[in-house]
Amino acid sequence: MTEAYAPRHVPELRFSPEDFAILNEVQDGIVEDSRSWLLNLDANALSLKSGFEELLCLPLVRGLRKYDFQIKTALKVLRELRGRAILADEVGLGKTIEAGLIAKELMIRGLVRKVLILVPASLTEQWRDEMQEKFGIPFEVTDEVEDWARHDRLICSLDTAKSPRHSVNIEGITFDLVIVDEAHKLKNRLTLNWKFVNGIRKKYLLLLTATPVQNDLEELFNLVTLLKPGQLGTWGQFKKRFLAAGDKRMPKDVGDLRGLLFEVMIRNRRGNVLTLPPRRAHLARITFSPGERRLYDEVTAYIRSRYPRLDRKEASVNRLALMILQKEVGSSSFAAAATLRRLSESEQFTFEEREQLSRLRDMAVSVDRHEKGGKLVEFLGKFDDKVLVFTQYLPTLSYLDGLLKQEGFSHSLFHGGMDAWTKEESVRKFKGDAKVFLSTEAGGEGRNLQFANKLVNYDLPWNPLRLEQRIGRIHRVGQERECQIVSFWTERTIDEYILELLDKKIDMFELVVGELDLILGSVEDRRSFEEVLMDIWSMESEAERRRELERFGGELLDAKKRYAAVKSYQEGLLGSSLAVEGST
Amino acid sequence: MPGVVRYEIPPERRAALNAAVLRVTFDPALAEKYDGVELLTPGSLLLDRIIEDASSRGHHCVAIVQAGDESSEREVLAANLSFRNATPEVSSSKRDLVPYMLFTFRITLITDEKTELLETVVLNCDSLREHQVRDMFFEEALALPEEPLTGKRDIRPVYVAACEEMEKRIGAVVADCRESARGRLTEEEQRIKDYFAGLAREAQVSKYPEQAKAAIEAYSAEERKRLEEAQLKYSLDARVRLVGVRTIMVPTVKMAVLLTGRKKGREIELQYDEVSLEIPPPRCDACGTEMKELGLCDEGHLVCGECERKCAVCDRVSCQACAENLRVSDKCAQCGRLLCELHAVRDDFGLGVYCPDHTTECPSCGKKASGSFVARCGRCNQRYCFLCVAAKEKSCGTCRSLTGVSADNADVARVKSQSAFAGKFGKWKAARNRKFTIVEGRAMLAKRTFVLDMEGQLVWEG
Ligand SMILES: [Zn+2]
Ligand SMILES: [Zn+2]
Ligand SMILES: [Zn+2]
Ligand SMILES: [Zn+2]
Ligand SMILES: [Zn+2]
Ligand SMILES: [Zn+2]
Repeated sequence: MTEAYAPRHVPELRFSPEDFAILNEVQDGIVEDSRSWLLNLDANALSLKSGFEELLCLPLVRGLRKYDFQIKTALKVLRELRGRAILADEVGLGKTIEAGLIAKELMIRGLVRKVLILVPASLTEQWRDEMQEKFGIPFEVTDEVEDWARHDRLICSLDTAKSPRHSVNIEGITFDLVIVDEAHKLKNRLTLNWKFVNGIRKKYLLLLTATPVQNDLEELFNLVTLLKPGQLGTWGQFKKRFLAAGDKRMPKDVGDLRGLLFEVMIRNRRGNVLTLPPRRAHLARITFSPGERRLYDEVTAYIRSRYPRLDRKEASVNRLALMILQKEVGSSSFAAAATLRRLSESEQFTFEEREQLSRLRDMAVSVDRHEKGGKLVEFLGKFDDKVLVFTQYLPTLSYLDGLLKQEGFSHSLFHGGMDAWTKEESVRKFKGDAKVFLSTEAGGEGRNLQFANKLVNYDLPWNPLRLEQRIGRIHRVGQERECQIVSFWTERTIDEYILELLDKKIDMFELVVGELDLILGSVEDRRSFEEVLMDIWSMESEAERRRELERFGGELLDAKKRYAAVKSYQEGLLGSSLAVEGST
Repeated sequence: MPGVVRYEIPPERRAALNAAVLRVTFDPALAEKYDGVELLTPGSLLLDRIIEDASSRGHHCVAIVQAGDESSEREVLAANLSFRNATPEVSSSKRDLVPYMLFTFRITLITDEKTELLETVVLNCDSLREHQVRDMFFEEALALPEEPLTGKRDIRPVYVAACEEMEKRIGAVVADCRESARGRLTEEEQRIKDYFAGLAREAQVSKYPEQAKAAIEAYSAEERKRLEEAQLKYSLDARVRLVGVRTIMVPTVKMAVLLTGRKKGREIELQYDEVSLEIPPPRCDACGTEMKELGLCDEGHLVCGECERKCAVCDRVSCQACAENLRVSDKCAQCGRLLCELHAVRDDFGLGVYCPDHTTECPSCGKKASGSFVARCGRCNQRYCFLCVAAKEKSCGTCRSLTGVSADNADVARVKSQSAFAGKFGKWKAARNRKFTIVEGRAMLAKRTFVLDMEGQLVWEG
């Protein structure tokens, strides 16, 4: 039997060619036990999936606290917005989780196979890890052009994807689902970004942004038109209907505009859906012991004499090495000692320099009093609560490990060199009877540690996003108690500069997790935050350093003001009207 | 651990499931709590694998159904069917095992959302008739047939019949799905078309002709893409997959039933399975619908009540399957009763067909008249065709042609012998037509009309 059955009453029906294999078994008298037959029927009945009454993916999404508003958002996108939506929740509410739920649901139901996630280059790995760990969806980060044909699920930076080399490959593909993170980068329809995303053939589309509108309504128009052309008419029609002459910021009829946006956008607000307990930031001032002081000053002097003279490009290895050294000497003498030894043996440095580095190393090894360690022990002794202690450097970690053992604290260790199982074990131990969780940055990602509410920054990371990530470990949805963030800072070190910028200028410790990115995103400097910091710190004259610090501080302040302006503009325009609950 | 089941996988399935022992739970909280406990829930990898494994086999099994309580054929017949115009008699019967096949189909309908269902069809492989799906057909413990199912029959027609039946059942669901998606598509397409039409208009107004032309071309290319996207998203993808088949041998009684009617008799084959004791209702010879009440026409056709026609005059029964000239196919234009050819009277004035009761053969001219073409004579009070009753005088032709007769005329004598009023009249007139003899008696101040029929009986006077 090979000839297909041709439908007679319902012309669209396509009969599976595999039916003939089964029919041939029947024809040939091949018989199985009735148990297998029933099991087959049951299996099929169990795997029927219809409609969007509920999210089937919920039980599957492990280790992830899901909020009612996120579930409602996902359902609304699937049921009412038919899989095309701008997810514009305020920062910190988990737009990624909403997008993940929607993607998972569509995949489970067999509606989506080919998925593309477009994100800023710095977030590709993070997205991949989250999709894997939280949703069990394996993604590949695009590497070479062949990947487009090879994989069904890809994460790619917008910049890579839109480059001619890649975009020519994307043109021929129809994606079932495209997710664009940081979609405010598509606010201008004359840019390549917008045109590129517009050019992709796709069924479902999710645009994620915390700031769907920053400066004027044309941005909003562009975003909506990308998602659903015609929803707001043409730009000409939109202008006529909503813009008063000369004002591109506020529409003539807010209610009407919100009504149209309601069909394409969801914006949940923190106040409506969750409230985090307050958090308190404490700055603990450290005064170095004489040995530590001498080491810090001499290392700094050496770096100041070297760093500014190194060419930005050619000698970047050494520049990086010196930057790390400067960071480490602020963390602990152990961290500095390890790097000093490595550098003193490096061919990259001249004989004289190696001599000098070697001398500094001896100085580091001979430091006998560690003020920060003492302070930590004193601090831990004050509380019964569990405490997270973060440092960036393994030698510091191992020093603290010894110290805490010696002082009789039960603690668990966590660092990037551990395998997954050991890491799990370590978190379990902290959840259990360990009082202290001693971790390098690697302890940041993905794990829920919000059963603890106290955190110590043993050293201050120079990258403020790192600092924010640390805070985010405990001050996040699920936290029920007030959080205490204690940051050690040492007088007459670069720590003073860091606090000047982060604490004084942008109120880093008061920001909601996620906001920092939106602020720093508008600072126009090609250098990273830590490069700027290092450039300032390594200047020779005190006055010059001050001046430069003031200038950069001013820039941060402006960025913060810009962000506040965007926030209040957005608030006035959108309000609560686009939230899944609590909207009026 | 409560709520967690340890499940040892039979060796032959280990490869498919990629494990030898599984610890499974249906509770997401437990799956999260314990390492290595697999969650079984729609969409979970393990369940997907189990489903895949389970549906890679179990495609076909067989069973035999045991007969229930004994019942006589007559009782079963009476319980299932009733008869019009005929008396049934079971003339012979035999028991047999008849193969039935149970087909389960999985139907998947995808637009921008998904609808899935299972549909089960049971067919009698001999008659290809659909059989009610009974719970017992799904019982695991049904006995196996003693001897292997030999006698290869071609199952293709059975499969085709099952597919057709399944199609009929899901037609409405598919249409629903298609239409609701089409509604959303139309809306979306309209929005896209309006948008690009708007862009084109704006380009024409605001740009130089050359630029406008280029812009409009670009817009229409983009419009095509957006429309394609929309069609892709909302178009219906409807798939059917056969999940499995069960061949069920059902003990069946096949019997010949002789129906005796008014004229021709008829023998029909009926069968029922001994489990349900239900006789699949036979189909009407004329229209093909199934019927529980069977009629027999004079030609021996088996017909339903809808198709049966009975003459109101002579009780003759015909049906749509009878030869045309044998059909009871006319209706009286006045009373609406059905009439056979013999009893359908076509009037002579072209009004239509009438039953004998509503037809008058004019006593005067002999034409057949009906309805408004019948008139009553004002003098003799008999019914004539309206042509024979002169409008002015309101009297029929016979009455107008009355001629004098002597008092000892035979008809006058008949009148006198039957009417008490006849004695006082001295002058007499008479005339006759095809049915009556009209006699009129006159005196000084009185006149009376008497009507005699052909036998000389007085039928009316006045
Ligand atoms: Zn009929
Ligand atoms: Zn008749
Ligand atoms: Zn007939
Ligand atoms: Zn009649
Ligand atoms: Zn007449
Ligand atoms: Zn008359």
